[in-house]
Amino acid sequence: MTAAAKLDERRRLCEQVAAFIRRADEGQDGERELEELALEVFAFQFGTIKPFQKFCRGVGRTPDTVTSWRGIPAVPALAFKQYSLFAAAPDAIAKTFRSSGTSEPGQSSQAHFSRAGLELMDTAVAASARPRLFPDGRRTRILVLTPPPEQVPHMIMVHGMAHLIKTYGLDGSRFVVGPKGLDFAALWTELDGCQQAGVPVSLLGSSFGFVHFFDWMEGERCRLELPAGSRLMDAGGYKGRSREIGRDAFVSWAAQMCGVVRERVINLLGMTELASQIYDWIAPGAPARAVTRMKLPPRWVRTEVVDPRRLGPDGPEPVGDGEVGILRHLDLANVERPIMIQSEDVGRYVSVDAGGAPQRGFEILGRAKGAEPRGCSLTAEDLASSPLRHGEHEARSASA
Amino acid sequence: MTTSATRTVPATRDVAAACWLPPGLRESIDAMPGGSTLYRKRYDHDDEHMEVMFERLSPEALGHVIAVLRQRRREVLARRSVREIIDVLDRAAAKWLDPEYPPRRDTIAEIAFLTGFSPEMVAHAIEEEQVSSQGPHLLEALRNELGDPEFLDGFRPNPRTGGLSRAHGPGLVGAIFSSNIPALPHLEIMRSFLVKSACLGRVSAGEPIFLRRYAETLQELDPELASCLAIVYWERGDDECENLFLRSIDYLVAYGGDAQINRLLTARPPTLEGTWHGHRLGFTYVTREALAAGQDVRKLARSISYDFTIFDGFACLCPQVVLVEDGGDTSPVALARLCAEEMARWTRELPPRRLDLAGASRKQSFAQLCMMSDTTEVIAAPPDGSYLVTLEAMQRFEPSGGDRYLRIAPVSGRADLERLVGPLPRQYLQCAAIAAGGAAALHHELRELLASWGVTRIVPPGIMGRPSMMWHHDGVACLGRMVTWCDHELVVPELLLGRDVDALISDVERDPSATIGAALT
Repeated sequence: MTAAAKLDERRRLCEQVAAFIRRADEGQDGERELEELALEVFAFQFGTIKPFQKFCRGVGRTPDTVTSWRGIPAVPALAFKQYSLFAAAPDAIAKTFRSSGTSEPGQSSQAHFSRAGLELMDTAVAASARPRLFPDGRRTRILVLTPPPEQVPHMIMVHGMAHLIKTYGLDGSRFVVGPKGLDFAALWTELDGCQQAGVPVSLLGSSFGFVHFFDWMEGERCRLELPAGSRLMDAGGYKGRSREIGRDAFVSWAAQMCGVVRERVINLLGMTELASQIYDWIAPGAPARAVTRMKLPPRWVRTEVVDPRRLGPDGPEPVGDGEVGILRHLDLANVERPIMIQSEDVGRYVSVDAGGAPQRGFEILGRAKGAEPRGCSLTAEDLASSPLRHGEHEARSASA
Repeated sequence: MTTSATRTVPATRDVAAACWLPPGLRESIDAMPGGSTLYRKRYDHDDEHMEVMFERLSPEALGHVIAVLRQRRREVLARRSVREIIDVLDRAAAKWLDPEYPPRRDTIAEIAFLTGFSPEMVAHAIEEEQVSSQGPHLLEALRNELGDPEFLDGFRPNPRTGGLSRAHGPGLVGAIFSSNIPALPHLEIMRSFLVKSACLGRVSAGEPIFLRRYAETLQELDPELASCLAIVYWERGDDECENLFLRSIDYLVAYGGDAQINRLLTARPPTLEGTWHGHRLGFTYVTREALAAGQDVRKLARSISYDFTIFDGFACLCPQVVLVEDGGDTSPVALARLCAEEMARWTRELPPRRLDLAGASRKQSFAQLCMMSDTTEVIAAPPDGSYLVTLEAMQRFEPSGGDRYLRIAPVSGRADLERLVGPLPRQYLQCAAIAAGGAAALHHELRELLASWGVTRIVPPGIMGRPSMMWHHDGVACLGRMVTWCDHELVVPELLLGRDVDALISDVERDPSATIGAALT
């Protein structure tokens, strides 16, 4: 395929997936279409992302042999730290998102987007938020507890939130963290103003940002009673932070501090490696139900919970209901980056019978952090971090 | 014992205990109000779990243990001959080498459950370690480091000093153990007893089984000797216990990572001597002579693969990288393919450790990342992750990190060896396996080079994980370092050379007044 043909193919696929997302947003299921599109995107990526092609050959699953989206090899999310996984030439890159502030290779996942890819992601961002975050179709003032995209251009979550402001926000919607950090008092004053004026608010931010804000509110002994139609969306979790709060406790706390109902406190799973996001789905009806919330992917995303120790012809096999496994996502909106990603999140399937319409989603239980057995043998990291170099510390011999 | 969700939780007495005190000491500690606090640690694996009982001694109780150990050393160890002590250790080794020894089966099952190592690997480790724990090996180890082991029993003629010499071990050896090699920590109990020192060990929570079982074997064979040993535990960060321990012992043997060793180096009293076994690096070097036509390359591959298999690569004794010279009749890639076949064979004989979900995921991801690389050729990566063989040109020495990851780097010769291994921190270098064909001069050149870089053990491939008791462990005469010498010099130095010193010594022994005469003659 020539470069021009590849470009056409990439644009065509982006448009096709965007059209699929828009139709899915309108309620069409499209399982068969998803299958076809996924395999088409897979074949395209096999031909255009070299490390991905090597990987597929390595695991013995290529477009010639894979007949279902389930068989598409899942790229470990870690691979984005080491390799440029982009289905076009570097000059097509319009934006690169990173999982952390550093661009040091190996330290941070890097996800490249072309213009067409960014447009596709924006479509996915708006379409996944509509039914879960804005099911009432109500416009709100969106206040985001992060710096604006200009300050943190590498953060994919902030990019998505900017698009939510553009699509769903009332005047006055903005990012509230400035160069000097988050001014809690100013934020509180603004929210209090919304409360007085009866302007519904959507508070968006990282889970840990909210923890800090609520801690501050408790210290100041202030509470909010946000106007009807207000909501709160937290992204991510509390990975590696000093303080861990259970999901249920967070929802109750947030509802209490902001004066919103629990059903309006929504968590979002986003990854630098995915163009789509996965929101909480709340079972309609009685809150007494045993499971009332779970992560339910939008229709252009499929999440499987797999156990790498159980191997089938399509690689690691999905676990049964209730069993714990690693989350793996098929994201059609990843036209330019590998379509199937294996995360480092541990989770399990959750099924809810929502008034005769069974729904199957998943919940995240944590990170697959390694209880890696460590011997007295040295790893590359130890060696790299060792300040001791040959000759410098000869005095410190084995028996020093 | 191991229980599963379907099995009942065992009664307290069935829970494996990590700590061990001799019976008399146990009674006195139990009688001390608040002397010890028992608690269980739970080890989960999928839907199975096992509980192990640990105990924390109060500072008073630990102080009492230390006082009793010192007393028992004077009453028991100091009065036994080295050979008597070796005889008991030899019989302990024989017990553990006997497949029918009743505690063996449970011990293997428990260690396998707690560490994840396969039962086959744990059994193999016990075999390997107990073979070199047999009496003749212990005796040779003493000879290797002290000359005559009987220096430990009393003053003995020492022709080199022209007098008599005597060696004393420390009163109390404190040992802090690690868990990466199953069933190994008894080594330090043996070393302590060989120099007639009592031993106070802090067991590792990662492998809390073998020490107590070994102590029970000693108790079964010789309760008096066993009364010179105590196995205790405190949590990492329990500075009170650790400081009391460090202040009370006469010699420290510590295993652990850099952080642990550095912390202990800072926390110990400055005068406390010790032996430190921290992070180490090993590698294998194959010259083109070893790959010449007529060489048994299949056997070489099998030996190299064994070194990467044993302890699943999680031991300082395991190689990290195989450097293979190109230009031989067998190319590096051909050797790599043979190694992959042999890794598969070893996987069947010594199955790899059990993986938890996260571990399996990480291992799989790691192999997949290698597949994406332009510079690394994946020779073999079975989907179950049981081993991994890759070939790559190396700019700098990059350890594989173990876990049966056999990492091969082609090199063009000695200059590459120097470039890759020479700059490594010398305190980390430990074992090197060398396959260099039959030319003695080449072997000589290589060992001089490696020793100058800080390598402390050179072996042919296939025995890296099986050090002899005689090895100067991490470059140190571990037994020799523990003892303090007293030399009774009977003659002036100028008489030492060119004379029948033995006759002189016996003369002087018969008539001590001859000392002066000898000096004046």
